[in-house]
Amino acid sequence: MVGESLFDFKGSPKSIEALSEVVREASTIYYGGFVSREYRRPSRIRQYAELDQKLLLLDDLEWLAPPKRREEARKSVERKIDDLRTALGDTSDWGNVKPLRLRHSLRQILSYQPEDQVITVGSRISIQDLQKALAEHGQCLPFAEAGFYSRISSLWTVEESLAMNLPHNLEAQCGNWRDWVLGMKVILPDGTVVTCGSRAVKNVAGYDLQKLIIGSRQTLGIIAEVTLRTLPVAARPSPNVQEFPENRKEKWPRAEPLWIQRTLRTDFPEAIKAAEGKLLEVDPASCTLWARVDANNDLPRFADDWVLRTKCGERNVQFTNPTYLEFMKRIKQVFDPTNKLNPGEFGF
Amino acid sequence: MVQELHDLLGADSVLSGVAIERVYDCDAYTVDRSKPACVVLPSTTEDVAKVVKWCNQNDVPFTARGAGTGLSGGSMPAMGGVVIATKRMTEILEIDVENRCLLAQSGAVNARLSDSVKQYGLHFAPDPSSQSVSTLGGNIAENAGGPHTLKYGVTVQHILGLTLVAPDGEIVKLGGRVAGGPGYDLLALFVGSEGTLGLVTEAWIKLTPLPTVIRTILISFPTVRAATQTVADIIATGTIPAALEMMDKGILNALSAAFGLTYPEGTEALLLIECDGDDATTVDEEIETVRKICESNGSSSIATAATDAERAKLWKARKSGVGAMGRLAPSVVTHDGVIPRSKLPEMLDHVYAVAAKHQIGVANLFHAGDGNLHPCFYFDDRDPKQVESVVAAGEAIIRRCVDLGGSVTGEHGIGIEKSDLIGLMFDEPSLDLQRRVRDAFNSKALCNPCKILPSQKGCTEHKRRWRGTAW
Ligand SMILES: Cc1cc2nc3c(=O)[nH]c(=O)nc-3n(C[C@H](O)[C@H](O)[C@H](O)COP(=O)(O)OP(=O)(O)OC[C@H]3O[C@@H](n4cnc5c(N)ncnc54)[C@H](O)[C@@H]3O)c2cc1C
Repeated sequence: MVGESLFDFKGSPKSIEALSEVVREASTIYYGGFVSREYRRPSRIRQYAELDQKLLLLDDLEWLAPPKRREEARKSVERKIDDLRTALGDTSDWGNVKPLRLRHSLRQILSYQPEDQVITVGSRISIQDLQKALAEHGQCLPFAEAGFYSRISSLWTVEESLAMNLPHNLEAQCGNWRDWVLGMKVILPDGTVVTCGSRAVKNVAGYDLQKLIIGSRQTLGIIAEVTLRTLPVAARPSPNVQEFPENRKEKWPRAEPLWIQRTLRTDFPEAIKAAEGKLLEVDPASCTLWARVDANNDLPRFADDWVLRTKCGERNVQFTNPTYLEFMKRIKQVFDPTNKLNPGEFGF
Repeated sequence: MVQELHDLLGADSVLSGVAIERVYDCDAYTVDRSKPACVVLPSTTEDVAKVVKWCNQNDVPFTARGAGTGLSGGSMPAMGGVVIATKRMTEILEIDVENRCLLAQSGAVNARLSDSVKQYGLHFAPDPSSQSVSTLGGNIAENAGGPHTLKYGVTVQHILGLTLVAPDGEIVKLGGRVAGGPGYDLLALFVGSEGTLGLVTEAWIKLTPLPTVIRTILISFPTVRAATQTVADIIATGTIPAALEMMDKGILNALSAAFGLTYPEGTEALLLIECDGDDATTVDEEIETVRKICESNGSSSIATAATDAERAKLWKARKSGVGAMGRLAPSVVTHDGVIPRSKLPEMLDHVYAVAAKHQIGVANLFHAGDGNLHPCFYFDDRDPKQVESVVAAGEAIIRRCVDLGGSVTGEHGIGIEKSDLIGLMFDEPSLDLQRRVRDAFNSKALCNPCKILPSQKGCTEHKRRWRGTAW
């Protein structure tokens, strides 16, 4: 089931059971398109090596890329793995670490009731494919076509997108994954498969664990199936984003170091002013801005605001409320007591 | 116990005695009852923290209570102990019009929140039918919905920040005035946790602009099936009304008896439908679409509200429905289940069949647009046989909801009522995960014990005593 060699796709589990077996066997799993910060932490990785751990990389970049760009995607995966090698400080010998790479192919539409506006899919379905299927019935997930940065996550798979739950430009009008996901099947790090939420459009039975998984960056469980509520295309408003292509520096938009910030309405004009020359996009409806800010720089912060960054290692996500962090750790301990999934992603 | 709590909060903040035991032994779900040892009335977050710490030191269970309108026994003190009632925590602390949010204490009544910002053209969107009495804390704990949930979403979508007293007595703040943010969505975990993960003392709520154009119609149908089919058809077209509520003959009879409201001859069901927005043309188009669907299903008469006063009149039937049922029998149990909307016609047939089989009266008024059923059984809870029938009939209905791909509860919560039925939706590993999450915050199980999860330690023993203790 599990491949031995780095570049072999020996494992391509097609069922939840098969995937859960792989998950159970691995001792550390790096997972997701937005790769864990942990890659940049040699000491931690060496520690795993000493512990004779099995390292599992679940990655689908190659498959996801359109045929033209598949080669490029493969290179990018290789680059990530090179990062790992560098981190280990030894390019020839992996020590006891056994990096395994596999993809899972749970990407089918499992059931769709257009009349109820509810669909269940394998988590690895691309959002594009999902939108296509929904469009046949005049329905959609309310992502807009406008704005590159504010719709980045609509270019991924359902799983990656909901695991990151990045802001998007119809959020103020149509909500985000938290509002669209009705239920999930999740594989816990020990291989147990659990159901969270339901298939009903309204449900308050038990604790809403599916909402914890949304935005958890694959640190709590591996999402296998997702049930979503859909929106009639006719009810999807147009976004009102402003873009600033002149401030882009990188050839590939995703290569920009991103600073995503949401503030109070009253602070937003000042936040925009402070980001002048760096702005990539602005969504006035949700008071969110996307700017190009590298790791050596910061923009001003405002009351009650929050910031998400990329390419800043430890500083990609920072929690200013210690209780929040402490409560998050408690939850991580419940779901993933051995810290198997994307360790370090949130700084623990 | 009472003396020590007096010392903590002052004598006028602690209530006990036979009358108090009777008032606080249940909520609006009267089938199960359990007496508190005493009731405290804190005024501030710090007061609540003091009480919770004292309970921890003395291993005394405690249960939060808002207005007690809950319909699943959530605020019933299952193991006795202290009821912490938020009656005196009713302040609206800050209104931030520009940022469209408001900070209130958890005992503030839902309707007051909206009333306080109406002048700014804003409102708090969750509007449970109990909104004239139910509290913000109770709405948060139950993740309450309401008629306008269909378009505006349930409580969790309107909560920005919380101040909590955690089950160990620690004061904790989560979120603030800005929605979203990185990390695990703790707000979404606490909202809807039925008071088992701590007590909410204050909350920042989101304020939503009031729509400028509202069209409301009340439509009469010659059969229940025609009405339910209409609901399914409206949803299938993709139109999203602001509200889509249904009432059947049982409710109409109660309303006639209680308030003298009359309906056209031959009415078996009514749909109350509201469309809203800021653009009159769009809203009119929506209502027109809806009207056509109604007509194609044989709707027999239509009343349209042109003014606010007329609108209020049309809503009166919906809002007074449960109250009116008080005329029919000493007790009413309002059930709560959800089904996919396309299954409404067959589900309602099932509800009537079950009621007939168990020989109990049933009336239905519910949030049809969400597929959220509320069969109301009316009976006499002094007769243990009737109580048994009501429980059995409820279970038969809930089981069918799950079989049809729905949920055992859409808004009233699991509480005590459905802690044995939640297993219909989740297998043991899934329930175990929920249990472990609960324990991560409520490790001593003192905070609202015996709720939500089945067969909890110490609760099974108590259970026998809850049921059938009506007076
Ligand atoms: C006629 C009628 C109509 C109703 N209509 C609706 C409806 O349309 N939609 C709907 O969702 N519900 C409805 N309900 C149910 C009920 O009104 C809601 O669940 C409401 O949110 C309960 O609020 P409450 O203040 O009465 O809370 P209570 O009944 O006092 O408590 C409910 C739960 O919340 C907990 N709780 C209360 N305060 C706090 C706090 N500060 N911190 C933590 N936990 C707390 C309690 O422990 C308990 O578990 C209706 C009830 C009635 C009687």
